[in-house]
Amino acid sequence: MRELALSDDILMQIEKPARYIGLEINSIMKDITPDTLRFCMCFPDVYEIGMSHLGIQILYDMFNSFEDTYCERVYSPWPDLDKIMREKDIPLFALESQDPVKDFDFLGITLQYEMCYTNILQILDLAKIPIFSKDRTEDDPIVIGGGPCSYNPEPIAEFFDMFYIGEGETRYRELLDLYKEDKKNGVSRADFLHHAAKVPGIYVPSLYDVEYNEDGTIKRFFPLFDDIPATIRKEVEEDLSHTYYPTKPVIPFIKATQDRLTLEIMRGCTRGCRFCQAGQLYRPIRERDIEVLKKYAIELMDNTGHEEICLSSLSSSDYTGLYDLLGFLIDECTKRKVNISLPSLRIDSFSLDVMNKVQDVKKTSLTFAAEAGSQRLRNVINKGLTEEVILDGAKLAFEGGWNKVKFYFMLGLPTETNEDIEGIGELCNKVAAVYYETVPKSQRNGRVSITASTSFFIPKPFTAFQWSRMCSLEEFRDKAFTTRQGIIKTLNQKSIKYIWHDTDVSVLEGIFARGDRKVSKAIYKAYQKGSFFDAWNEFFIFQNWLDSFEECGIDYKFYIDRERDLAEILPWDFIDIGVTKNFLKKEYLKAQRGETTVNCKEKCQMCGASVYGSGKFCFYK
Amino acid sequence: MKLRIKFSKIGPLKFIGHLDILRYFQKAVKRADIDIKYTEGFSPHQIMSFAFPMGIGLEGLAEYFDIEANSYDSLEKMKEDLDAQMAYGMHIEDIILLPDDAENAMASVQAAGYVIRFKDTLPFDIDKAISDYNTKDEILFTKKTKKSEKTSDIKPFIYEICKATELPTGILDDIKDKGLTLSDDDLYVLVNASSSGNLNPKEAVKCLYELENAEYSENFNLLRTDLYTIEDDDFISLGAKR
Repeated sequence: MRELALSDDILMQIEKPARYIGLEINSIMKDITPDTLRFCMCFPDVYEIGMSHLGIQILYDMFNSFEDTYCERVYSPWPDLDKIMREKDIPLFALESQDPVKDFDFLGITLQYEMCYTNILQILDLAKIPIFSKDRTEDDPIVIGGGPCSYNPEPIAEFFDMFYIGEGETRYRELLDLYKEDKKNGVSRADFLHHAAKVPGIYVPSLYDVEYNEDGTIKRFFPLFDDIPATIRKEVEEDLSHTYYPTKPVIPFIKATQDRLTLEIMRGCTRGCRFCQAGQLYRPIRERDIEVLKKYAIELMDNTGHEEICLSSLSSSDYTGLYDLLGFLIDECTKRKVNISLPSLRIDSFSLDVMNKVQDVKKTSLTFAAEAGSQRLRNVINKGLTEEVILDGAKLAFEGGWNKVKFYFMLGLPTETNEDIEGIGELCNKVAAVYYETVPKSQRNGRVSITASTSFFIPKPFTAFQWSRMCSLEEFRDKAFTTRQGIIKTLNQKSIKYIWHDTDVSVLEGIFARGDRKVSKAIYKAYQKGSFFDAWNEFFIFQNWLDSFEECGIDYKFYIDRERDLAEILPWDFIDIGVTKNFLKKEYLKAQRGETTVNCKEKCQMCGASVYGSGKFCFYK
Repeated sequence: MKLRIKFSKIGPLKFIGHLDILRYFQKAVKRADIDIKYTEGFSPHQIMSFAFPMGIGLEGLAEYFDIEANSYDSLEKMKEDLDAQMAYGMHIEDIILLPDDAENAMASVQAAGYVIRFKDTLPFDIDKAISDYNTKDEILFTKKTKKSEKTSDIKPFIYEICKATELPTGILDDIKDKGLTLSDDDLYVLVNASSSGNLNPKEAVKCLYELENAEYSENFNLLRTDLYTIEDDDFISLGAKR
């Protein structure tokens, strides 16, 4: 019978033991031989979060389609089990084989958000893999990072042997072949890393060095060898219709945070919102073929028995075949009693009609990502959403029976004034007024419910605002207060609920997002002080971090509290995402002037992403 | 038409709780393409009801849930199709067509059999404990819940206590087939599992410890062997064909 890494006694003591036993439907069991390439894929957060992530499922499916490779999964043990594993000296294990992670050839860690950085150290520590790359030996797995945060890998560079910059579909086979070849020839770990650094998209931090100016900015970033590239070009899958797609995704026993099937319809976005990192990182826009998507949708439903399917992309309304695809899905899903979930859809008569068909109007709320309260500020961030469009959408929705509306806003955007912030309350008030004008008293189902939710703006690498100053804690708190006051002043304030996110975490996220190699010391220090699961309010201890920065002699304000000079060398400048620094500079300057940039479907902005696919994904008009 | 599905759950999947097993079967039924009936209304769900939820840690040889189906080819094929969708350690043991007026599984359950497999040597002699239990007319036992303590005679809630190795060959073979081993100390209890008088089998074990003045520890694995309805003092398995 199957042996588990944890005893029955331990599993009975901890919360949700199903997180650690594997055996899920569609998980893959393979025979392991001495020749098997063993890849352990890690999402450094709790199981239910990690199991909601499509990227891991794509790579799991891809790796396991290779006959010589066995890919397994591991997630962060929850603090209850973490404590037991340390007390009883139980090494971290992979779910499928329940074997120690240390026995694997590779440990791949996906970096989806900055607040998981301490969890990476927990994973390495529990796996008994040295935390710093430089301390690892021939017995340790190669630790490789990937995902959005690897576009500024510097704050965690010292913990990784390498990073894969870009989309995973393209280069892993090449990397594995190189590993196999080098292993066969008895090549040392150091030499393998050197060889790997020549594979496109692979960044080996130990082979690069940084010199700093006296003011702490970067003087020079350079490779230590002549035969490895000075810049790393992001990898892009050019043919999304003929590549790996997990049509037999692993189905967790316990409810995942996103308990649904995911159909990724396209990558990239043409809208050019200046705060949005994903919008730049995933350029150029690439759609999956509609017939391929239809086939995937049917296979996904047949292979899982799931009750809900979700279309995924940065802006689903921009998918050219959306109308046909949704028509097909409505038919097939109705037959199979499967719900369709449609996030990131623009609110218009078409989308409302679709939502009417697939969702219970009474239960769902409509979401507008307005991002800023005034038109002036929406122009600054190039969010092409006007008040007119919002009010028209709301009117249509209210006529269609909806009476719940959610708004997302950001506070602390560049150039923001108190008038912009007060605009949040005013906009919500106008939407409430539209409800009372549109829906006659007799048809009202109680009060309209409007929720305004604000988060704090964090400038990210590879955006027009990568040079921008981020607000301080105090400013953020004042801004939240001003927002609240603005809402209370309005006529319909009783219909408006205001929610805001915590400030402390935002500050830390800001430091990590644009940090350099020096930051890694503080991350290690905070981990030693017991910080992990920082993305979870109940475990986040801000004081640990303040102390850690101080003890490491790091002035954390350096990373957030200053406008960077356009000539400054930024820690992530050695990464080439196609979109050029020059383009971002132009956008930064246009933002200061409040000038907008049109959707690149209307006019090419020469952002640079056309280097991929020789421009075949781009629009030249 | 009403169908009763009999399944077993042995091994690591004992760590999956009842609600997750429910969701697991809802998906399995869809994958197996069973023509199950749905409730009416805006968010239809499958008509499916379980006999007796399994708590985390409990294994089972014969568990049941009832469904309503619109149509099927043959029960044998349905059983094969559904069994092909099971995760490691779970099996569809049987599918039984119920009469239209059959009582649902949950309402039918009146008794449940459990094998208690001890992990360590017992601090008392099991034969003596069983005989002590049998010779007493009444055993006062204090049941502690979060809210209250209640002392009453436990014997009416326990229909049978014996050594597990003395069970009928049929059940012993089933246990062996599932790769489970029994030791001479292991115990079998048949207890009240009705909605009015349900007794947790752990209380029965605790009662033996108290009887032998030994300090209780929960050092055992629980295996539910079957669920029964009671007719004219006969215990009839929920999986019995009639």
